Amino acid sequence: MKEVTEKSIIPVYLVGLSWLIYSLVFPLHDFRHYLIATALSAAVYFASSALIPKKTVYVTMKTGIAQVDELVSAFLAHTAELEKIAALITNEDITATITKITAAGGKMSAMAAKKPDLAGRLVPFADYYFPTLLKLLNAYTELSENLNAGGNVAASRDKIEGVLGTISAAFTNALNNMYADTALDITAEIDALNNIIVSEGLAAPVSAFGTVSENTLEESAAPASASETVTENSLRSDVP
Amino acid sequence: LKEVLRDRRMALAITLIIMILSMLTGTERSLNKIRQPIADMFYTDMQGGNNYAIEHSLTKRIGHAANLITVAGKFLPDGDKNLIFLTDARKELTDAAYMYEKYAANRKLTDAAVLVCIQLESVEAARDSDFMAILANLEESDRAVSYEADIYNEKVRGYNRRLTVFPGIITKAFGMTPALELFEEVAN
Repeated sequence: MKEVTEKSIIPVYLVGLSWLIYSLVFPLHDFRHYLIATALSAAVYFASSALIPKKTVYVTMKTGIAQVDELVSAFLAHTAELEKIAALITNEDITATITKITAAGGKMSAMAAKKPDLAGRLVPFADYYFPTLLKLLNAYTELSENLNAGGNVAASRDKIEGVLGTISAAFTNALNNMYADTALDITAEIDALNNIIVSEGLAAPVSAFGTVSENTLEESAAPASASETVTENSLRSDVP
Repeated sequence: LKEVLRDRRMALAITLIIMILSMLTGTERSLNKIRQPIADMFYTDMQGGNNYAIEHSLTKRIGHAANLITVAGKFLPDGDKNLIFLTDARKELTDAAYMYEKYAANRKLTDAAVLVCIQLESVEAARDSDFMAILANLEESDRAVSYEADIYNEKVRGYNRRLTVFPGIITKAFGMTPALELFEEVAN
């Protein structure tokens, strides 16, 4: 998602309103009257634009792949609905769990938007976990309104509270898995980078114990600990 | 609906429509506010009375013409051409609905009255009657009409000029602010 600052729409309507009021109250049969009305409406527009604060909105970044975009949009819609339901729930533990889920969901959709090949991991969440969660939470809010109805209501509520933790864990784990995939990609890229450096003969000499030699350390611009591995040192050097 | 109204393009379209409607209705209201007193000047004078209004003077002329017809009827034979001309002119002025009809009927009434009076001058028995006084009243009221018409027409021209430039030209094109009729002779 991308953060976008959006101007309020109210000043636009105020321009129309200023023309309407002017036309009802003041004369409008001369070119000068039109100049006055235009100046007045412009003043209304700029003054109201300055007074009404701009709104920050989050816009979904498009990947260009229809299926992924649809998935991310569905994910965001579910997240928004979840936030609406959370606002109706007074139990702080439940709202905290929902916040965790929405945060994880937001990060998952953002990652999928950045790396469309990870979007497949959103499918079960968009198709099953989110709809089920929403259904359960809707039921939870209904049950909360009828607490005096009997023991079954309290039992059902407890069950829902219990399963929320499981769903939250599923979201967190899925997010971790997505990060794990990304980490794997990073490792692969680092390995490839090291191989190129070694093949070009640009690698720093390595002692028999797998640490960087003292001479290399002295030559290196960045201060590095002797226990660091070759890979870490290679990353710290000024290779573009 | 809330979402639709929040759309920037929709907001601009709605505002534009409001602006255009405000301009049209505002200009119409504003011009009609100027138009009405000028139109009323034909019937009511500037002081709020009707002593110096064209319509009032024309009504007076219709009354003077009636007097002249009565007097002339005593001395001129039935079916006299000039008397019929005067009677017709009076009726036309009474029935005239439009400005140009009133103007033309008024001119015709003046000509007819003069012709009848010239004819009455030649009738011995009519010399003692007050037809000359009636003619004098007709001439005086005709001068009043001319004077009032000058003022009225000047105001009407001023208003009609507004309808030839922006924004009056737009509202006139939409038939919202019609031009005012001049009290003068029309070619056709």
